Formats: sequence, C-alpha cells, structure tokens
Amino acid sequence: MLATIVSMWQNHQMSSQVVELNQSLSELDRTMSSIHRQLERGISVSGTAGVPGGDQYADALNDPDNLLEAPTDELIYADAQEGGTLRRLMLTDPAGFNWLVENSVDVNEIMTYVHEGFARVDFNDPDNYVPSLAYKVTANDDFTEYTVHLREGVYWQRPNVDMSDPRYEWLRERQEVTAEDAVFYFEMAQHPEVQAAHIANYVEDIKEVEQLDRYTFRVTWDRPIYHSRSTTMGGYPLPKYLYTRDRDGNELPEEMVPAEFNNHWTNDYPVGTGPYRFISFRAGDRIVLERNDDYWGELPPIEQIEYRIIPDADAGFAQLMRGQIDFIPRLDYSRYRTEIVRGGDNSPFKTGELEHDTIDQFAYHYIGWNADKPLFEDRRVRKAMTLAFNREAIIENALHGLATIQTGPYYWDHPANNPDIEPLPFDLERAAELLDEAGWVDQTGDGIRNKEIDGEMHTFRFTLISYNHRPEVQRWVSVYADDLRRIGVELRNDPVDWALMQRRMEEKNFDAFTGGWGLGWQIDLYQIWHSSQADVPRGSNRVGFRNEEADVIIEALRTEFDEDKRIELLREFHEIVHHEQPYTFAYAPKEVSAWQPRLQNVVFQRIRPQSYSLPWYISE
Amino acid sequence: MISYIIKRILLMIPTFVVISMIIFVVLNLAPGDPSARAAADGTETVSQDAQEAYRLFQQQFNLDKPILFNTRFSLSTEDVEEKVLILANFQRPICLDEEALEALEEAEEIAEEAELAPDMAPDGEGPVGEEAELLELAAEADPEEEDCTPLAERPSSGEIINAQETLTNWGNYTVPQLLTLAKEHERADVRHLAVNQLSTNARRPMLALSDPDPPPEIREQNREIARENSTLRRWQLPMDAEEEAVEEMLRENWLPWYEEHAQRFEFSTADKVGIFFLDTRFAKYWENLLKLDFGLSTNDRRPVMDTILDRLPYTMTLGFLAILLAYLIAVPLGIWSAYNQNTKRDQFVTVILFMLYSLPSFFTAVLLLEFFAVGRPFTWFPTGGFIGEEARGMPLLTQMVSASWHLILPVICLTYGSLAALSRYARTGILDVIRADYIRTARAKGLSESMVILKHAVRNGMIPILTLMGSILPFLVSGSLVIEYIFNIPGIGLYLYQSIFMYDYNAIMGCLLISTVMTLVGLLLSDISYAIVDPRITFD
Repeated sequence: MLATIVSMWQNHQMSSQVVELNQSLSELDRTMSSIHRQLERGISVSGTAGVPGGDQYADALNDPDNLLEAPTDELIYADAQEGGTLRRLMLTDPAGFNWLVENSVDVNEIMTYVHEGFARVDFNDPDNYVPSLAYKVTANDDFTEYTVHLREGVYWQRPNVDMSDPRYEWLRERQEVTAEDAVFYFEMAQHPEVQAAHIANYVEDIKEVEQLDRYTFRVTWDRPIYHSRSTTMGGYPLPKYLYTRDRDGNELPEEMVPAEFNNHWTNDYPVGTGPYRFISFRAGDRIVLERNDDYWGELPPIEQIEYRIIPDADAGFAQLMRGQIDFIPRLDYSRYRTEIVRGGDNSPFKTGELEHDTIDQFAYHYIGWNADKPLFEDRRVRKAMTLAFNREAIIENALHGLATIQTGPYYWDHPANNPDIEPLPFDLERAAELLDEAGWVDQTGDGIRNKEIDGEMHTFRFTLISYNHRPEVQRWVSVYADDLRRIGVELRNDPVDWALMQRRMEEKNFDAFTGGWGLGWQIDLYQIWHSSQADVPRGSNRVGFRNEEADVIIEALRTEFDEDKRIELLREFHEIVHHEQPYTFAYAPKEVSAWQPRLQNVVFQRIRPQSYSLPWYISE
Repeated sequence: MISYIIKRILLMIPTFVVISMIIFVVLNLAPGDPSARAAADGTETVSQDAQEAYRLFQQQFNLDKPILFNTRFSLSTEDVEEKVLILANFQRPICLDEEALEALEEAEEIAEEAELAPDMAPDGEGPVGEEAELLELAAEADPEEEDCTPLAERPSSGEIINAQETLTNWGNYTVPQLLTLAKEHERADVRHLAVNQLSTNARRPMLALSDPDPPPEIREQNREIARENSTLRRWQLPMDAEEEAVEEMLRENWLPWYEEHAQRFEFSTADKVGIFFLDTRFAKYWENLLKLDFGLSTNDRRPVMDTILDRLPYTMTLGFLAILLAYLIAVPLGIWSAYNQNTKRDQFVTVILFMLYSLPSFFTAVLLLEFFAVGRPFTWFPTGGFIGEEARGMPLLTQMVSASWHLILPVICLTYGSLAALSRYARTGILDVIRADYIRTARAKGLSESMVILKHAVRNGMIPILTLMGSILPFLVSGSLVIEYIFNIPGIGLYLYQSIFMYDYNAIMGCLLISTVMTLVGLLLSDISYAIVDPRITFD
C-alpha cells in the first residue's frame, strides 16, 4: 500500500518535471516567434513600397472603376502588446462549422476570424466595401456584371486533422486560393441540394459565374438588383479541393459533391484564409482559435482566442469576476441592475475590477397587428395601440434603460431614418379618442369596447402571442395590458415557445404577436413589407401589410443603386409605415458587455460583429 | 437463479421497446419541430423561402415519414387531388362575388360618364377611392372568366402549408396518382401543378446521407440516385408556362420514365405489410438503434452516441461521488439515530435533515456559488467546470486534485437532499433487527456492543439500503439537469437540457434511452443483490 503511494508520488514528481520542461520549451519557442514577428512587422512597415505586388494592390484602389475603396477603419492597433489568450464567453454550442450551411450569429462571428470574403464592409462607413481577398471589383453600368480580381499568393489554412495519420498525407501540400474556389462557392450556394436556405433567395438571380483566369471571375446577374452588390462582394471562396474529395483524398463523383457538402467530413475542421486558424472544438466546453501566422495581411496582437461555452449567465459572470474569462458580450438584465445600476461603491465596476460598455444590438422588437382581422384592419386602431404603449416607461423600468425607442424598420442610427418622424408619445386620451373615432365604444357597459362589423358584434378583446423565453418581454406585456384596460381594451397574454409561435404565425392564426427582427446595415424591405409577401405561405409579411404606395417604393429600391436616392425612398417608406402603424415598433435593445481590465483598447465596431477583437490586446 | 436472470433479461427487451415507443410518440406529437428555431434573444432574421432545404432536412431526419404506421401505399388519386386542388385554388385569382360585380358595373358606368364628361370629375382625376380600386380589380380579373376561386373557398394559410407539406412528405408513394392527375385532370392548372409536384416526389432520398465517410457500395448507389434526381429536378415548368409545354413535358419525359420504373410503384401484399410497419419514423429509429446508433443530432449534426460517450465520464464521476458521499454520511447517521431513537439528539438530526431535504438544490447551488466562489465573501472554490485551466496537460495527480476541487460544490448540492431519505432507511433497517432474537443472543453470549452492531445488526439491517443502490444507478448516467447547468459541467444532464430547448429529438431520445437501460439494469441488479445478501431469498 505504502509502496504504491510512494511510487505514485515519484511518478507524479517525474511527470511534473517533464511537463515543466515542456512548458519552458514552448515558452522559449513563443518568445522566439514573437521577436521574429515584431522584426517582420518593422520591416513591413518601413518597406511596403519595395515589395513587388504590394504596389499593384494599392494602385488598384486608385482605379476609378474599382468599387472597392481604401479602408478608413484601423483594425490593428499599432502600439499593441503581443501575445496572450483572449477568453470570451459563448452561451451555447455552435451548430456546426460549415460556413455556408450554418447561419447562426455565433458561427458567423467565428467565421469573421477564420475566413474572409472577397470584400468586407468598412466598419466606420458601412456603405463602403474595402479590399479583402479581392483587391479590385468592377461592374458594368447597370450592375449586372461584376468582375472580381483576387489577390495572388493567398493560401488555404490546412484542416487541423491529425497529420500523423497517413490517410491525411494528401493534405500536406499548401493550396492557393483561386477563382475556382470562388466559383465553387456560388455553385454550392445556388444548388438546391445544399442546405443554404438563408442565402438561396439572394443567389437565385445569378445567371452565371465564370472563371476568367486563375485569379479572376465574373458574376453575371439576370437583372439589375440592388443586393447584387453585397451578395457578390460579400461572398467568400470555399476550398474546392477539400469539398470534392473524401477523407482519403479520393475525388468524389461530381454529382455527389452538393449532396455530400452538407455533412462533409471537413465540417469538423473548418478552414479559411483569415487571421486566425480553427484549432479545436469540444462540445459544452470551448472553441480554440490560434493566430494564423501565415496570414497575408497584418497580424492581430492576440495570439489565441478561446470561446468558453457557459450556458448559465450567473456562472459566466462568476468566472469573469474570478478572472477565468476575459470578456462577456452580454450581461443579463438582472446582473446589469444589481451590479451596475444599483451596485454601490463595492461593485466591481466601480472598484475597477471590471469594465463595461453599452452597445447597440442590431435588432428591434415590435408588436405585430394582424391587419386581416376585423380588430386591427383600421389604421386608427393600430395607432391607438401604439399611443397606449408606454415605451419610455418600459425602457426605463423593464429594460433598465437598455434600449432606444424604435419608430420604423431600420437601425436607429442608419441615415435611412426620416429625421422628421417623432415617436408617438404615450397618450391614453388620444388613444381613446382614436378608438371612439374608429367606432369602438363600450355598448354593453362591461368596460370593454364593442363595435358592429358586418352585422356582427365584436368585443375589443385580443390575444397577444408572446415569446416565453424572454422575461423582460413578459414584464412589459403585463404593463401594456394594464394600460390598455384603462381605455377599454382587453389584452390576453399567451406566452408560448418559439416553435409553436411560428406555427401560429404561419397559419395566420393570431390577433397580435411580439416579435423581433435582426437588422443589417443593408436594407431590403421586400420580404417583410411587400404586399405580395402577405399571401405567400410562410412569408415574412405576417401582419398582412398591403400598401400600394409602399409597394412602388419597395420595387424601386430593389433596382436603385444611387445612395442618395435610396435614402430618399427609404425615408418615404418610413413615413408610410409610421402613418399606417402595421407594427407597434417598440424598441431597439442595447447590450452591456463586460470585461477584465487586462484587455486593452476594447473598441466596438459600428456594425456586426461589434466585439471584433482584432484591435484589442492583452496587457499582463 | 441463472434461469431467473435470463428470464428477466428477456423480459427487459419488450419493456425497453414499449418504453422507447412511448417516449418516441410523445416526443413526436409535441407541437413544433426541430427545424423552427429562433435566436436566443427572440429576434429572427428574415426567413427565406426555403422549401427545398426544409424538405432535405425533414428527409435526413426521417421527419417526413409517419410516426408509427405507414398507410401511404393505399393513397387514392382523390386524396392526392384534394391536396393539389388546395394549392391550385390558392394560385388562382379571387372571383368577384355578385355584390362586387354590381359595384363594379356601377363603377364602370361612373368611369364612362367621367370619361364622357371630363369636367364633371374634379381636377380631372377620374374615379377615386373605392371605385378606382374596383376598376383595377376589373382590369386584373375578367369577371366572366371561370378560372377563379370564390373568396369563401380560398384556402387559408394553414391549409396551404399543410397541403404542401403533406404532398411533399408523401414522396414516392404518390407518383402514380400524380401522374394520373397530370394526364387526366380537367383543370389545366392542376395538371401543371401535378407535373411540378412529380418533379419533387419522384426523386429518391439518398442513403446514409449523414455519414461523412460512406462505404463504397452506398456511394455507388447514391451516385445513381443523384444522377437520376438531377434529371428529374429539371422536369418541371414555371407556372406561367404554356399548356402545350406542360403536355409535352409529360409526354416526352414523365410517361417514358414511369414506364421504365413502374415496378418501383407496384406493391405486393408482402411489400405493403413491410411498408406499414417499417417505413415509419419509429421503425427507422429502431433500425438505427439495433446498430447502437442514436442518429444525428438535428442541432449540430454530430452523432448523438459520440456526444453522449464524450459526456458520460463527467456525469458518472459526479454521480458516483455524490452517491458515495451520500452513503458514507447517511448510513452511519442512520445507525446512530437508531441507537439514539427518540432522544433529543435524534430529533434534532431529523429536523436538520428534513430541512436540507426541503431546500431546492438549484437554489442552494446559486447561493453556494455566490458565497464560496464569486468572492462574496469567499473565493475558496472554482466557479464551475469540471477541471481547472491550470491542470490541463498536467500529471494525473494534479488533474485529480483539480477535478475534486471543482466537484466539491456540485457534489454537496447533489448529496444533501438524499441524506434524509437514506438515513431514514438505514435507521428503520437497524430498528427492525435490533430487537430480533439473534441480537439478544449475540449480546447474551458476551460479544462487545460494537461487534453486535457491526457484525450482526448492520449486516442484516442494511439489506434494504443495499438494494436501494440498484434504483439509484440510473442517476449515474442521467445526471442532474440543474446542477450540471449551474456549475457548467459538460455532462449528460446539460446535454439533455440543451436538446430539449432545441427540439433535438434524437439527442433527447438518446439521453432518455440510456437512463431507461440503466433503470432496467439497476432493477435487475437490486433483485439479484437481494439473493446474494440474504440467502433466504431465492428466485427459483
């Protein structure tokens, strides 16, 4: 017994020494490579002009035909300290790493580190595209033909497979990114067997994608359509040499490629060309990204990014407090209240143990009124509903001030918002007047308004389907119900699960519902607001918004490329929506990010992903 | 004994089948399905019309098949016609009813008048308001045209979605019926829709699609299917195509194709029986289960079995420690209570234990975290996870120390609740035997009191508590949803929790079936342990 313990102890000592030795060796290695990199950086800063090819790419930006412009955002901070691991929180396991098939916010965020598109949006000026894998994009006059020129000498990251296994021998050779990979992306996106539903509608108008030479390809569109610009430039190459082969490197028959694409073996080993490489994913634990030292562009200072998967918000915050993670993208409302709003001098945010900042979520919440029901077909009724909705108080009390009042379907800071539109105030008297005007008066003396429509007596009693997983939504629904009762309207709250909610909306089996739309900088109103979408089964125009004037604007916007004219049209549309009140636009939520002070230069971008960590660094 | 065990094991099989069937049916009947998902914050992005992707998803996870029994081979042309008609009616314009027709005529008259005497209309704007609307309607739909749907008969959104989904789910079985419709139906638009639907339904699903490395024979078959499917996919026409073009498509492509493959759609009685029982979600699920395959998670598309095996060690360690600790504390406590029966001490301990029993563990867990981990006031324990960062890649001993450090709080949470029950069992067990004759005999022959208790009383009194272990066994693998969630231990419980939230049928089934098996095994073991511990009990 004793001997066993002693030998275990000795064993432990020995292996401890081995581990220590290993650690100091890798430490040495890291210092070396860090020095190396800083030297390189010095060279590249002082001598860009001398590098052949560097000129060609810079010159291309002076070409007036080039749709790409020089970036105004500085993603890499010059005085950053090298190295370190950024540990950030993620709430759930991502659904997978096939960039084209998976479209959750989480997966998209990881993709921005690991992979790149042909062009990216300038973070400071999101209407502009700046070079990424492409250095030049030109289009014909009516924007139906785009020619994209890719950078040369960019290589695919190698899938992070176990290279000691001889079956992966074929992966050893580096593969360059070519126009063939770009064409392959569009082929897959368009193919019906590929489960890329989120993009299918955008690529359906592409007539042809052809490779012109090794680094150039052309995308031809059936007709001029506004989103062709973002769809073409925002695309990204996919490694054709991987997706057309099985694990052992044997070519797949051509007709099998799209079918196998969805569950291809490389989905566990995602690759790209970006500043970080995907190292590993353990479900329920973490995702590890490591800086891609072969990256063609400027390298970010942080050496490793780890996404820690922690589903419980309290546990996540506890780890942040203890310094076990560095960054939480979104604090709970309750945590925000106890620690920041009401937190006394001992609050870690006051003592400097933690830092925080408030950023906009690209989304808005609303109440949708089913205009096909007699209750809400009248514009005045819908307007009364908005007037009775005390947005200011709700934002103040239920959301702790973490929201902005929303008046239309755009991100509140987007120039498309019509500056002349003031949010409707909270005014129960005016709301009651409007209901009277619309013919809704209490005729039975039970305190609830009635109206005769087509010989049938209707009572103003409706069911609001609300999303049951958000406590703050439930809180404000009850406030709203109280206010409505005061003007003789009865709201019944029906909190349900998302799947059920969606089914009822698809079947148009609702009076009203609470919803939320995620927003982008690019605005396409067609799916949600065009009257044709009101009759499409499973369409997004669930409230039955039909307005001819609006239809004309929406159709015009689809083919209008001039920014000023677009803004004008968008503002007109904003006015119509404000007048019609198909939704009661509620609020655009904000979120509070919190981090450890060892993170420096924590700047947030203006568009998604706002917490893009390239400019950040870690000071030890 | 052996024959008893064999009998029990054989009996476990039908029990397991029935339990799995019940779980399966309940799961599949729950409203909503895994393809509907919202972001965690309740916002969605604009959903695209994704018919095809949705269909593939349904097919991949067998959601297009009926749950228990398949009677699709007996579908008649009328059944199919009913669904196609709904779609066709939806696509036709709405008829104007009589009232509207009259109003329309009136509007036309007014318009004519206005045209004749332009000065009568103010500002020469022509007809305004409702009349203008009606005029437009008139321009769109010719009132004499018969191809229209009366407003009252217009199918609702729900009906359309249902018809579309049902038709597509019927898949291959409806090819002959659709073909009949395409040939013989009196309405041109129904014939056209039937041809287009054929192009979806005639396609065959690929085999073993979820396997990233399929065997070569399957690949070869799939290749054949893929080739045929890509041809069939092209054999449809946009809705504005000419009637002749549809006729031609049918004549040139579909009829010859059907002739060639007609045997695919002819079913013998044996085939029908096979389809009735076997081409169903449940049978497909069982087919996989026999290969010890729980299918793919609809959420992350990874094999459920792999994930469960990945997570099992965490849950088992946690469960084992919790059970061990519970017994280590509860059994001596029970014996002690029995010995001090009805004293103040006994009552005090009982009250404390029941107070603990009534504290919900999720509540205690959060409190413990706040007090002992977050630093208010103590930072004695880690905040969650199974093992510390610093211990990764370290020698085994360091790892064990780190893991046990992490597990102290969760194990406490899992343990204290069961102390009351277990110690009560132990107490009763001892009290039952302590007055027995053989205890008196043992005392009488002069054995020391500790010998009497340990050797005679405890060994006999602990039989019930030992057999209780069998029923605790499933706890080892099913884990604790709440505790694993709060302490972020990546075990089965956390997996189940997340899967329920995501409607991940296969994952939920996997987790539940594993604990079903363990429950059955546990019951068997506890029966066997009776016989081993107490030689008086036999099962023969």
